[in-house]
Amino acid sequence: MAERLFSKHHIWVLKEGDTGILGITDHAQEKLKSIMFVNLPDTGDMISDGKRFGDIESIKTVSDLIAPVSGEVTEVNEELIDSPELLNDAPYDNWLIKVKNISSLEDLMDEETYLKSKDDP
Amino acid sequence: MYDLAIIGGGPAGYSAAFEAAAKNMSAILFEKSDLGGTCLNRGCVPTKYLSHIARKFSDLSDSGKDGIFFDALRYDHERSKKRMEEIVLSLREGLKDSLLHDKVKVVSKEAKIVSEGVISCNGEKYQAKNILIATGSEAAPSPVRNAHISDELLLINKIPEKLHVIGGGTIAVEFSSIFRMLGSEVTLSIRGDRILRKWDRDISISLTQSLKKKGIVINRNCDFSSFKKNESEYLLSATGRRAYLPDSEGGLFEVGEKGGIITDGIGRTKTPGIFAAGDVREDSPDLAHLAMEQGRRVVRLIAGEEVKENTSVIRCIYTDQETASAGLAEAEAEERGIPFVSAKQTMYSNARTMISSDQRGFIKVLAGADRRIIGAHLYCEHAGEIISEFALAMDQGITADEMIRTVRPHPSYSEAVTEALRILVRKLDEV
Repeated sequence: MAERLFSKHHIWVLKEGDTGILGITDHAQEKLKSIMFVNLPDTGDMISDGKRFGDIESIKTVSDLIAPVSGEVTEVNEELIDSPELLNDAPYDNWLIKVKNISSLEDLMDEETYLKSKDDP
Repeated sequence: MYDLAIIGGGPAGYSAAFEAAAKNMSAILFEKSDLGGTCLNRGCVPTKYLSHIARKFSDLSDSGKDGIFFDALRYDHERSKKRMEEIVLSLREGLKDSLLHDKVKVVSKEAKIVSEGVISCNGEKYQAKNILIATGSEAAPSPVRNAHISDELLLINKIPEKLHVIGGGTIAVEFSSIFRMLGSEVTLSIRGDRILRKWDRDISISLTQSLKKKGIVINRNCDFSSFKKNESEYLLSATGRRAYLPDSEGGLFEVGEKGGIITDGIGRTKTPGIFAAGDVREDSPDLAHLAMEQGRRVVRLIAGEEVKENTSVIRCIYTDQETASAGLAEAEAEERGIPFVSAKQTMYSNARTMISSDQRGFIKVLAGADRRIIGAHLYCEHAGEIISEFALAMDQGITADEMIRTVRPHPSYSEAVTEALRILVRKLDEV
């Protein structure tokens, strides 16, 4: 079972063959508090490493989702459209999008490094 | 000899007539059907009335949460339709009176452009120094057989049990929403992947969600060549509008690919002294307020005045919550290589929204590298009103820093404009 990798923008990536599954971290959902709406790309859209690929609306703010990799979106988690609160309940069980032909995961952190990094000022 | 002959008594036509009268120009207006055109009789006015009623009905159905109860809520479409007709008639009579008062001659028959400066109508010949074609548009032909158009749906006496709408633009979305709220089971079938493809993406997503939440079934990527109509449904085709050309001798104006009259920005056709304004133009976005302004601009040109062309074009959608857009969308700015910063403020924490509807909404604003406002996209209560402030900013080249200085009232929906601008200014400072 592949390990989850993390980006500094609080997105996790789980690799399944050539496909990457993306989601938000527990730290992200905690900071956002009640998630009210999720804006995600369409299947077939391209996402670009370092660029915004959608956003999450919570009661107090709108947070951009920054892509940790580049690739083509193959699946979008439609469940989140009706029940965005699932991201607060279980951020690691509810993925956002699946991406194929993903670029390198070299710059991403393992869980330990990520947890330490977000505590740094 | 009239200074101006106008063919068509809709928004473009009557606005030109009033402008001409205000400048002491003699004007004659030919309208073969009802004054007010599509807008007043078959479009904007009746549709927005139904949208208003649908909202009222929906809000009342949900008023228990505010402590308001009643025994039985019911909707009588025949009664509502009567009221709609009263409003339309009243506006039409008012228009007729105003034209009369301004000494615009109105001829209620079909006109034909015979040559430069000459119109024939009902056996008589009329001469005018200038001719303005303002004959508007009609519903585009349906891609499927046995479908009705929006004009017809506005005439029915009973809400259809099942409504199937074909089309993914504003008219399709508005009618789907309205009739669902008034009790129909609604299905919306679109050719593409998403409704409102020409709009800001967040708006498209928001309205898709809103329609789905109401229980409307959306069929995407439909192939209409093999479409079969279900016997029990009322089928509505709302796939756009097509220019309605006047009767005229050939060669006086050129017609584009979409079937509209080709003009320059102000409205000149290839023939001097012959102009076009409104939906009949090839480049028309089919908006009544733009048609009105185009009609007025032609008159200003004829009067020898300087004519400013570039003003923001506001587009609105009236479902339960309003949508409004002006200026550039993000995708457009990206395509054109225009650097921008965008900020989105949601309405969850807007007090006025929580008081009234507690619905999800947002105000999104874009600024260019020079910090001037270049786009605004709103999905919130009263979006159609709030957008005007953004259009003003864009037309006057106002920056985010200047716009944020206005102290908007509390509690109001427009306070969210200040909040959006705060995010925008912060993002601009980070760049």
